[in-house]
Amino acid sequence: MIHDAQMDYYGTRLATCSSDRSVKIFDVRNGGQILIADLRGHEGPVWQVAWAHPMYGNILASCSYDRKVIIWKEENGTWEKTYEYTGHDSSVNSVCWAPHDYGLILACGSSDGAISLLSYTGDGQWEVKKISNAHTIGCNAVSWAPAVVPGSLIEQPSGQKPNYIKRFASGGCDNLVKIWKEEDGQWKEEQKLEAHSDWVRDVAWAPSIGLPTSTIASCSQDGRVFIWTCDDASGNSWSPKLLHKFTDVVWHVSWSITANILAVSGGDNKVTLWKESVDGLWACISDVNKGQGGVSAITEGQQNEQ
Amino acid sequence: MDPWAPPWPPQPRERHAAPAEGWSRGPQRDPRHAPAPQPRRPALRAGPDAWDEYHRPRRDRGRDRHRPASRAEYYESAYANRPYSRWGQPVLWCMLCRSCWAAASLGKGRWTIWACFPEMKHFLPSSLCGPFAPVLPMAPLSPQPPTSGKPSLLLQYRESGLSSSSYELSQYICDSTDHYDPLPVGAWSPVQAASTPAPVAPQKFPLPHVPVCFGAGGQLVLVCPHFPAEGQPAHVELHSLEVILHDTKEQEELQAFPGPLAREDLHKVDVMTFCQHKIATSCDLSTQRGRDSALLWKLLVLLCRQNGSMVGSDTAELLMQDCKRLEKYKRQNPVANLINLSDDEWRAHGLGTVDLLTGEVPPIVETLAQTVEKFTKLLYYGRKKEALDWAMRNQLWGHALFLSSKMDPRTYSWVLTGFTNTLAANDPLQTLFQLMSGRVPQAAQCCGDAKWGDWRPHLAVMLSNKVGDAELNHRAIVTMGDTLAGRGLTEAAHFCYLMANIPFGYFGEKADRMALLGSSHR
Repeated sequence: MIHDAQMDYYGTRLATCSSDRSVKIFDVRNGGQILIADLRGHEGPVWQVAWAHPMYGNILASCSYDRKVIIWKEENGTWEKTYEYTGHDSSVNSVCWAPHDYGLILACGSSDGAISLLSYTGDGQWEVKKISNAHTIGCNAVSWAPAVVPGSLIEQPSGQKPNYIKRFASGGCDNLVKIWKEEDGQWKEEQKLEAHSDWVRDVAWAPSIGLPTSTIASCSQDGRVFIWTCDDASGNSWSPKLLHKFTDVVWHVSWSITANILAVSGGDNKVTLWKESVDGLWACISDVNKGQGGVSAITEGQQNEQ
Repeated sequence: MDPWAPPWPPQPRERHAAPAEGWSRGPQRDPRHAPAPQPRRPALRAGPDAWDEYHRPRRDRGRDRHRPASRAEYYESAYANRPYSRWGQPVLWCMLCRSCWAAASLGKGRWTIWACFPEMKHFLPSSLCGPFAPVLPMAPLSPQPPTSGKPSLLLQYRESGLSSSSYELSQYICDSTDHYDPLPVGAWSPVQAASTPAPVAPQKFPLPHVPVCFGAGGQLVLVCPHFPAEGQPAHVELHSLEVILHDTKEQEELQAFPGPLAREDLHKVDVMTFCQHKIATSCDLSTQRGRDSALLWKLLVLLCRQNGSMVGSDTAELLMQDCKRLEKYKRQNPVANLINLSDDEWRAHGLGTVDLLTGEVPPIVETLAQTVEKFTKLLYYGRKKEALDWAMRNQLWGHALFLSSKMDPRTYSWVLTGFTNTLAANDPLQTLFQLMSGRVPQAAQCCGDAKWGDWRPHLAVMLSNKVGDAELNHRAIVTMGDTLAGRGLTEAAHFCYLMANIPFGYFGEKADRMALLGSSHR
C-alpha cells in the first residue's frame, strides 16, 4: 500500500513510499514512468517522504514505523543512504523540510510524542534538537511556515535582510494543533489551537506570497477540516473556520503552490478541491474523479506485500 | 442465532478454561449481558453517528464480498468474516490502533500474542506492524496485577477522554473487572517474536487511503487506494489542474489572457485585442467610473500602437475622443465685472443691460464697424481708458489687448483679467490661460464635481500645451489627480498620475499615490 507520493521541486521526479518498506523514485518527465531507484533500508511501513530544495542537491527524507528517519542522497547518479536517525522511541509519522532559506533542516514527528529537528551542519554531520512531549500520545503531522515575512508584499522593503522567525505547525493525538517558534536557538510552543475533537491527522501551512495573513489547514479523525487564519504579523490570534464536516476521517490536506486551492482527501477515498471566494466562504470547486483529467498513471509492479 | 454472537468453536473453550469467558467478551456482546441499545454496534467505530450512517443502509445490501472501499465498510465486512485466525484462535481488536487485530494462543503454559494486519487473511508473526509487543487493551489479557495501584492504561484512556473510542474502552474495563478472573501474573507472559520491546504505536494509516499532493507545473498527484494483498497493483495518478478546473471562471480568464507582456513573445495586436475585449466586457460605460476605466485600457492600446512613446497631444486626442458632447461654456455677463469708469456711457451703450430709467433693454445697434469707429474716436481725444472700456464692453478684445499691452502693465493685466472673466470658469480655455499665466489652474482643484463638467478637456488642454515650467505642469496635473481621487474617481486620478509620470509606490506608504498590486517591490 502506497502511503505517500511526492513530486520534487521541478516536477520531474516522483517519490513513493509503501508498506513494503521501500521508497521508489520514478522519472515522470513527459508522461513517462521510469523507475530510477528502489531504496531499501526501512524495517517497517514507510509513512511519508519529503524532497529537500534542489539547491542542496537531490535529497529525499523518509520516515517509517520502524522509528527511523532516513535521508537519501543522489551521488553520481546513484541513490544512497546519507544519514539515518534513530532517536525516536516509536513510529515516526511525518517529516517535513524547512524552507531553504533556513538551511537544510528536517522536522520529524513521532508517535512517542516528540518532534526532532535535524539540521545539516556540514561535512556529513547533522545536529539534532528534540522537543519532547510535543503532543501526548503522539504527533501525526508537521508542516513548516513559509519563509516570507507577512505583509512583505505590500510594504516598502527596508533594504535589510529580512529577519525570519522560524515557525512550524504540528498536529497530534491530543486533538491539538500546536505552533512552535524558535527563540534564541530553542524551540518553544507559541500557540495551541484547539478545535478538533479527535486525533489531528494532518496539518498544512499554506505557502505565502507576502500578504499579511497566515493560514493553516488541519484535518482530523473527527471528519472536520479547519482553516486557521492569523491576520497580524506577530502571530498571536488564530481563528478557526470550519471548512466542512466530512462523514469519515480525513487523512490528508495539501495546499497548491500559490495557496489558493486546498486538496482534501478523506476516508471515503475521495479527493475534493476547495477554494476561498471573495467573501471569505470556502467552496468545493472540484471533486477529482479518478480518470478525469488524469494525464498519466504510474503503476508499481505487483509487490509481494504482506 | 444472533449473527453477532461469536460462534466460538467449542475446542478453544475447553482448552483455555479461564479465559474462555473472557474470550467471549470479545468485540461482540455476550448474550448474557444486557444487550446494548443497538445490538449490532461493534466495538470499534469512527463515532456513533458515522457508524450508524454507514451501517444501516448497508444492511439491506446483504453481505456481498466486495472489497471495502472505505473504512466504515471495512469494519463492517470484517465483522461479517468471523474473526479468527487460521489456527482457530479467537481474535480481538487492538483498541490502541483501532484496526490491528491480534490473536492469542496459549501453549505450553504461555500466551503468545501475534499482532497482525487488517487484511485478516493470514496471520503471521507480524513484522509489518513493527516489533510487536503485547497489544495492551485486549481486555482478557491485560494483566491487572492486584498490587499495582496505577490505573490501567485502559482506564487512563477512558478518563482522559481523548479518543472517540473511549466509550468502547469503558465497556471493556467494566467487563474485565466484573467477569474476568485474572490469571496469576506469573502464569503467562507474552512472548515476543522480536527481541526489542517497544511501546505499541498505532499504525499511521491502517487502511487504504488516498495521499494527495500538488506538484510543480499545475499537477495533482493522487494515489489510488488499493489492497495489495488482493493483487491490486498500486497506481499513482498525475492529474493536470488545468484539466480538472477547466470549466471554472478563473481558469477561463487565465486562458484568455494573452500572456506575459514581453515584446519578443507577444505580438502587440494580441495585447490590443485583449484590451479591447476588456473594454467591451468589463467596463460599464454608462457610469463615469466605467468610462474612466475604459480610458485606461484605451491608453494601453495607444501605448502599444505607438510602441511606448507618447506625446502630450496623443493623449489629448485620446481624451477628446469620446467628448462628443461639446459643452457650451456659458459666458458670464461681462458687465458685472467691469470696473465702471464712466457710468453714463455704460448705461447708454451696455450690451444687453437694463436701462435703469426705463427698465428696458436697449437694442444692440452697434455693429463692429461702428464700435471700432467709436473706439478710434475716443482715442482721437486720448481717452485711452474710456476706449479700453468701450472695447472691452463691446467684445473688441484684440484692440483692447493691443492698446493695453503698450500701456502700463497694470492696465494690461486689467484688460487680460477682463478678457478671461468673459470665459466661464470651467472653460478649458480658462484652464489653459491660467496655466500659461503661471498658476495652477482652478480646474485642478474643482474638477470631478458634477457641476464643473467633464475633467477630460481640461487635462487635454494642459497636456497638449505644456508651458516651459515643467514643475508647474507637473504640479498642475498632480493636483488635478489628487482632486479627482478625493472625489472618488480613482481611475481618472490614476490616469492623471500616469500622465505626470508618478512612480509606483508601496501600499503601506501614505505619501505614495499609486501602488502596482502584485509587483515585486524588492
